[in-house]
Amino acid sequence: MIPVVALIAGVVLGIVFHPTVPPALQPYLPIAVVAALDAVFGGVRAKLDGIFDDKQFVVSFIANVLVAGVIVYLGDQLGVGGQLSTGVVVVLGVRIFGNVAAIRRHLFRA
Amino acid sequence: MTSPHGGPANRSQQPPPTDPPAAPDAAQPPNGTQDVPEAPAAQPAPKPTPDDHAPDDRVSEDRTPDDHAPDDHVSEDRTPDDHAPDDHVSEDRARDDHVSEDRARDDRARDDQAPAVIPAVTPQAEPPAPAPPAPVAPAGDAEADQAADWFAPGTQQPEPRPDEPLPSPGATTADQAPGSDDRVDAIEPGLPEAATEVAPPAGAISPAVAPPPDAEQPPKPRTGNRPAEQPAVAASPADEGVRVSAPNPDGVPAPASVEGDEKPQRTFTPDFLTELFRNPLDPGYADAAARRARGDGPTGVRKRMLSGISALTLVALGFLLVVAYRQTVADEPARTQARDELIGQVQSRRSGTSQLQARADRLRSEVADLREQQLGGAAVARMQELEAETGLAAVRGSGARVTVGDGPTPIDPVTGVRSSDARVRDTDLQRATNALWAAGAEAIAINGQRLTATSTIRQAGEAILVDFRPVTTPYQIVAIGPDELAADFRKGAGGQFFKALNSRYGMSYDVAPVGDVTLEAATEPNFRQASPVTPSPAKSQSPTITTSPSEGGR
Repeated sequence: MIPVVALIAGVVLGIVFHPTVPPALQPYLPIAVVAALDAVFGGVRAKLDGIFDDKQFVVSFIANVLVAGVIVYLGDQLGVGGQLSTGVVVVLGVRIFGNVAAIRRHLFRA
Repeated sequence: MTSPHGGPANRSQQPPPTDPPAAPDAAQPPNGTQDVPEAPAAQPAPKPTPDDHAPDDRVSEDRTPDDHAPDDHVSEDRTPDDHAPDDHVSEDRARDDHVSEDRARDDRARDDQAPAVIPAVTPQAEPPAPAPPAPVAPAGDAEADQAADWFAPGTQQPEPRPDEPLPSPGATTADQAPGSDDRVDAIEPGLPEAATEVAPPAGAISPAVAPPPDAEQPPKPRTGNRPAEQPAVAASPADEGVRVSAPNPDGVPAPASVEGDEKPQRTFTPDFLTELFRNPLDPGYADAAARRARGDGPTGVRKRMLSGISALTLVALGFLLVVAYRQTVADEPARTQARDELIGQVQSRRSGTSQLQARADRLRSEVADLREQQLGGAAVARMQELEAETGLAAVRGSGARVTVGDGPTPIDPVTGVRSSDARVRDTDLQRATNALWAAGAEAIAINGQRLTATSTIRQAGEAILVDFRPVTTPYQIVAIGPDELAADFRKGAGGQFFKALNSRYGMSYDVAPVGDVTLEAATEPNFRQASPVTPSPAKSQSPTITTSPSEGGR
């Protein structure tokens, strides 16, 4: 319950404050979102598995976002930003799909 | 050698049925004359120095027998060459040709074409086995038998090893000596058991048949033939069974042991991707759960704090999502803006072009009116006539319409290349227009493109350009001319040509007379190099008229 409320609060805050993303950070936004989604789905699955852990969730969330951003930044500096982004998206996408599949099994028994 | 051997093995198997029976019966006398002499000759020589030169002699002997046996079925060419039995070689080769086709055929071929040879071969094969023993020594017989046995097992692939060992056990090291001494040594230990009795001769045979390098495997195939032959000689059945079983144990156990040793040493951990697919959940959760189960988890204030941080993280997540969403939405206009701008430019240019076109038409008609006013009626009429002839004015009338279209263009399933055979080419259109001009056409348009004296029809890649403007299939060539234009075209060379294209490539083709058509004016040519000759318009006209038909299609 609290997580859902927190999520909604975050959305509201974002709408209210109407932040503008600095152009320098714009390339990392999409990858950060994907990384965050990975952490979130991992957390949801852990919750359903009954092994959710706050610390683990927070750490994985922040680390995922930061690492994803750093990888893309490095890639940009090396001239392979697009390829590295693809790699990050693939890995995180696979994890997201796997976790969502587990969540689905939990919720629908299928 | 390897290839021949491989072949022989198979063939050898087949031949046995036919050979053994046939050979003994009549083969010996006819062929024996040729083959036998050689074999004996070879054998005698080796016999004296079997031990010393044993390898060669035996080889020769072996080969000859082998040649005959294998040759019949397989690849005797090589063996024959080695020992130079010309008769055999020639025969062998002839056989080889047949052999190459099919074993069965080979057998038949022998029977049919080279009956003499076949029998010769079989007889020889038999004789050799007995012969070798004599020259070699007492052991020779046993060896020959064993060799046969080995070969029989040899037909089975695993047995290659046995062949090698056999030579060694035979103590006929000399036999094997040619190329396989080392092998023999190494192998000997394993083989001795079964080979001791019969093996030695086999070794001789194998080396002879299969030259040093490939000898091991090749012999096997041949052996297949011999087994059939040898059984007649004697001891083979029991020996074979024993040996077969023996070699396997020796060979198989060793590799197995090796594998067993290696397996424990190697540890395979799932690679990253496999692990990723198998267990996408962060292992930290399991660790944390385990800690909690042990009672090491955070408690009290610390736990509450962590929960708060977790909630804050979720707030950040929501924030992030909104920001990302807004950013994406904000980007969208910028992205589409550029495209919209381009589209706008294209449309504005297009409208500008049409406006200019309309203005040009208006001015042109204005010019025509003014000219008409300035010039007399006769001059205007003449000018209009000239314009009509040269394609600079629209004309109306009846004539013919030739429709040509691309045929099916199948894609090659292998290369993936689309066949362009059935495509209409520029030369086709040129031929059609020229045929129409020849049939009396006075004005022609291809897909609405009026042809003039300077018109071009040419191909650029897959497109056909008429006066540098692309036209596409189906191509409609409308010509104004005499009433019989369509019929003339159909009967003429052009019509026949397209008819042939139609029947051969499936290109669509149709000719029909048309009643009342209007052909638009062609765009006025801009002469850059040519300048009109003022004094003699009459002369210049006639040439242009005559040339236009011929060049209209160019």
